Amino acid sequence: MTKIIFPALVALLSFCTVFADDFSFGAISTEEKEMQQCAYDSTANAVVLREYGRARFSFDDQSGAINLIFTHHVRLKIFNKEGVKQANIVIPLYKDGDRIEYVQELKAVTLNPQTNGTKVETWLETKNTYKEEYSKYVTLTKFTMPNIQNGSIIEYSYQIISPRLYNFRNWEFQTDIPKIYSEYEAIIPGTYNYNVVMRGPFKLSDQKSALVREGFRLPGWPIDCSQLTYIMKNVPAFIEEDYMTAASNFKSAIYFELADVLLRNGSKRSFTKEWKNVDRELMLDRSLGGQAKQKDEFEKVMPEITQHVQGDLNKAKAIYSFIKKQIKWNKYYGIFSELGVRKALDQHTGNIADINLALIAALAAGGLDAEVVILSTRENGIVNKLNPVISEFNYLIAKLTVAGESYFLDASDPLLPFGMLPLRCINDQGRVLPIKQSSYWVDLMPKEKHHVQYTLIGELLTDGTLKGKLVTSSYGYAAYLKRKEIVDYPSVEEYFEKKKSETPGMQILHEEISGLDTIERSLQERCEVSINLFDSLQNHQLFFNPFFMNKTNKNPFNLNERTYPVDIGMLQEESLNLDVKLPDGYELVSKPKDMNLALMDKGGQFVNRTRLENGHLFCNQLFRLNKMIYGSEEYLSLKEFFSRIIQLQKTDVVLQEKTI
Amino acid sequence: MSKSYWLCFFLLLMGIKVWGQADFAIDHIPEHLRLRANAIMRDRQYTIDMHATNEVVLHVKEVLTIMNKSALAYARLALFYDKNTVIKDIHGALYDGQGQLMQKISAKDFLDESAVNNFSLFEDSRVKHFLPNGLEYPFTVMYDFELKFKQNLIIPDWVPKPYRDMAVEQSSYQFICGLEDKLHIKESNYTGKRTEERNQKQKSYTWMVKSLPAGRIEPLSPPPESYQTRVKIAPEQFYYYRKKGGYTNWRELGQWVYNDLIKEQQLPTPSMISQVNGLVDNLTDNREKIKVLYEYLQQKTRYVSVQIGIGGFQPMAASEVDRLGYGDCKGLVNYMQTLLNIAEIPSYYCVVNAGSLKKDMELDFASMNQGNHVILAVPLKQDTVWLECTSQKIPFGFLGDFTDDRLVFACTPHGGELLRTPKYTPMASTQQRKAIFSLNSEGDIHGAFSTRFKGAQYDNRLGIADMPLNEQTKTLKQIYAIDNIDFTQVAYADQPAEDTPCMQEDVAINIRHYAPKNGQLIYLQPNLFNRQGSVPQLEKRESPFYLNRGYTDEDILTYTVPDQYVLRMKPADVKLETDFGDFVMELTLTDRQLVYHRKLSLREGQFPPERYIDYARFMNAVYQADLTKVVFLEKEH
Repeated sequence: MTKIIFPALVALLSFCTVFADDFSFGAISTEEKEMQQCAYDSTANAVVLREYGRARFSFDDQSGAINLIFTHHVRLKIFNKEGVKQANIVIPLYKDGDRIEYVQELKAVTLNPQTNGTKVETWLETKNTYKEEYSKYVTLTKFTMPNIQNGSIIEYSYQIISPRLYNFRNWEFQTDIPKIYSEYEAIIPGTYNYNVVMRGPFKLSDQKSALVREGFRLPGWPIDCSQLTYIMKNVPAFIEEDYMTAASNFKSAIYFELADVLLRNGSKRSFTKEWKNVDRELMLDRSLGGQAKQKDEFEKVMPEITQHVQGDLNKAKAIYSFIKKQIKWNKYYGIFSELGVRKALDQHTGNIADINLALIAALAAGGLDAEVVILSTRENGIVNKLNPVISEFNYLIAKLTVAGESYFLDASDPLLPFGMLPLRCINDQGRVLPIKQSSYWVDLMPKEKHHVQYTLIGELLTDGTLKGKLVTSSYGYAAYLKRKEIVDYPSVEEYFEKKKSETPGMQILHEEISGLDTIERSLQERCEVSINLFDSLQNHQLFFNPFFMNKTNKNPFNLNERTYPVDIGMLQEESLNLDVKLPDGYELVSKPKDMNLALMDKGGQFVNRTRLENGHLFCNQLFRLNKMIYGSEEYLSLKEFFSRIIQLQKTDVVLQEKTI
Repeated sequence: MSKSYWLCFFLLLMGIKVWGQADFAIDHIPEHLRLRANAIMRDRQYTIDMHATNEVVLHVKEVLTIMNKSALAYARLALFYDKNTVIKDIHGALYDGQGQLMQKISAKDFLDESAVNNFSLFEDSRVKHFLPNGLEYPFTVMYDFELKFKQNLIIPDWVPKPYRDMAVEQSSYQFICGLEDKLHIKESNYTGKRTEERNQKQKSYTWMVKSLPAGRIEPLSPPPESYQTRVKIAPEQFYYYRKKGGYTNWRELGQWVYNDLIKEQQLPTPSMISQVNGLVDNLTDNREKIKVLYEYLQQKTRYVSVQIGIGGFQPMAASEVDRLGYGDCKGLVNYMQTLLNIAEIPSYYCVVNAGSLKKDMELDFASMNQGNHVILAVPLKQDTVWLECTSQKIPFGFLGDFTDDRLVFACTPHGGELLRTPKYTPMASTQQRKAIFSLNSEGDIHGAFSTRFKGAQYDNRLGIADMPLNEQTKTLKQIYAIDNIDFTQVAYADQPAEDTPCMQEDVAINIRHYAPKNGQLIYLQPNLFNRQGSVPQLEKRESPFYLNRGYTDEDILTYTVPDQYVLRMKPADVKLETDFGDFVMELTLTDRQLVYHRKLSLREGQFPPERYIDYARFMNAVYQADLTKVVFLEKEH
């Protein structure tokens, strides 16, 4: 991902007032009419031929409010039946109390070029547009274009009148179909200063700036505007792939955020600030810093919580479990508390900020050093690092420091062990907001990995059955996820039943589980198994495949190229230790190759060792993925890594009856 | 009501624990009802009071205990409403396991959202819903709500035990109506006897179930209709969106649908008439005419769901579809029927319950809420042509597994009738594959294969056939998910076949390092593509199991292997013949050619629970056989 920063007000504005105007509605070129496919993407089912957007301010005399007027004009072509869904158009509009956005001047037409060079126009009728109350905050204006055929050209334009000025109007150059030409014009009054951020891999084809004299008028106060034009040509379609985090991290788009406004009296009202200002503001905010300081709420119960524990770390653990028990998560995210610490404790429920601010306050009441960390979850995307954009953060956790060691804590999930973060939080960096010092970035790297260990000790019988004891130990995220899975079953017995029913070829005779309730430790499943490995001897030889436990059957990376980084979400480790007593009188003829595969820069490892010793066959395998994110250039090596493992796992141990 | 007041009063006097919250403690649930139950309906009173044909009040009071997380979703209350349905009142409360009140629920706790399903452009229906959150298990939720319907054409069914893993302590249904009102009632799997009461003003019917234990959730369960207790009611005289009518059977209901909902929507415009005449004038055969008009429909229109107005029962006018070029299933069928009317070919508008699971309209009980889709039947002298009008791709006369082999409700000018759609038998629903591959000494595979899809399997590749090549390749990599597979050629074509449509897929592939070499041994898994998944092996099963759809798959893959390879190990041939299906796997090596032959045919039908383990054994034997491999030895020169 590349980010380019422009100062919104370009210092050297060329003094002219030429509007790089909207293209004219319905004036379709012969080239557009005759286009059979997108020149740079023959696979596209539809293409945006031309798109123009303009956002500018306007003062409403009647209400005295400043609105943003956004004009959007699109001409697109549908090549085939698969592209028809582009004819269904949805315009989301936001509302928040009496701050309501609305659409005006909507017009839309389907143009069907005829063989004789003319075209048939079918206009959208207002009665065929629908307004849908989607949720409390969102209304959708929906319409579908009439008379769509292969080769139809759709053209529509509308205006959105919005009271929301903070983000100006963001613009997406990239969507699920290619865009041949996309132009955006932002006309920003000189008194408003926005930070502008480009996201995505593509560069602008052209960029212009001009001065519009008195482009915005407040009563008795004409204000010059800067007119910024951004043009991108031949933009490819955005295709989502597996193992990808939020699409907004990768799409080519332009984002705005209000930095400051020059008021009439000459003073400046600042919106986007330096972190030092934000730190202060957040820590003084009643729903954030104010709650983190509510340690009085815990003074009374603290002695009771910590009465049987020794040392700061154990004290912290006791407090952590206390909060987990007392407040249940209501499934809402947020960096601001909804109820406040006291109410959350009373009602035993709260959002993420309620819970973790209560935790921070309680830790402070216990005399421990806990700080607030705000972050953006994986599906919410990566935050802007250059200046603080508070609206990008949607989650709050605690950072505890005991004896120089720091721990990230989130008390929203009863199954999470102390010091482990839920996977949704593992997203680049978070911002630590200490009470007294200035804030700083911190890596949200997990200490734990997804770690599973299989140990099977058994005996192979000549009828092809392997009988033995299997121990599956899960650590870190593997233990956490397994516990989460098991609580979804009505009882542990039903979990066993389900497991038994899902292992054809393996009979599970007796099963027990330990460590289910001690979430700080590993989880152990022990069972007696009987596995049917082969049917009969052939030519006094015995073939069996030692990779029956955790075989990789499919390569998760099957494509020939990759555009975005591969994000696997967790560090992974899996090991298998097999000790099988062989029937007497056999010798080893062939075995899977011993190997030690490694990915570049220690990104991953696969080890396989097999040996025969004193009539026992020992197999050891180790599989590791040591990175959470692999660059797109590493895709093919990942693919090959898995491919080699698959190939190896197809090969057998071959034993031969000894001839005496 | 007054009775229970008295009872409370006496209990109070006697100093015994009062009714109310404490009653909800889970200790009060009988042991046999807690067994295996993830949720227990403690008490539910479902009352429908039909004041008039345009005023029906549903009042529900229920107390439900959720034992664990797996049943949390059952605690959600979702009330759908629109212009014809008004929510009069909702409130409730949450109790912990001991029956202590934790929280009261009022209307403001409900989320109010659009109820539009995602394929619909617009529906004027909304939903208010509430889901208890963040509670310790077990907990109990009480709801009390009232809905008012301004129609009585659709009376909601009573289903006291909607989920297998839910137990029911007590649940009742009372239907109240005027003394003169005539009703049609259908009870399914109800073993009790309903009670009837009358007074001067009204009459009522009451159904009641008690102590229904929970059952296991098992795979391949038969359609719930076959075992669930259910009561359906259809009033004879009805009111619906300012329309009135009456029916006692399918014939009369069909008559109303045709006369009041469809007929007026079929007025053709002059341009439609000239368009149709232009298309069919030179044709004499009716089947040819239908085909030409159907292809015209496919090319001209597309499916968009716009469900407003008459509750999703009345189609958009044909002239409107003609102008806009889109419509929902009703609109498109109605449009197709109008085109056929112009060509003077009679056809029937048929309501169907669509979905891969086959569901019939009930022979002995007519009502409007049994279908969810509409198709068109065109009766000819010899047979009937069935048209699915929402797809722009499927061939003329093909229905597919969405609507095949089931009773549908045909609304004809002479009244309604039930007709059965055609069945694709397991023997006719085939996937036949032939491949010629060569294996080189690197373990790479090169070659080509072609696969024919017929019957209910015809549309297996319909979604891919029109994709651009790179999308096809991507999707095929998921279907044929072999490590290192690459597709060098992909083609789809409809093949002429006698009875059913047939699609052929022709693919050329390379698979690098498919058969790894270890020392001198080469391992080849000959079943490249058609691997059966395993099925759960349940030792004890309670309910019968149901195989919804049978099919036949046959694969003949021929591998040419390098000269220096000799066969070292070959699995024994497998031949299984069971009541559920047959399976054959044979491997023959002649000269340098290894031929892998696999044939699996699955039957359909319902089987008793004790046969399940045999079924699982059969399917898992197929699963195991599909993984077998052949080992070659490389001779030294």
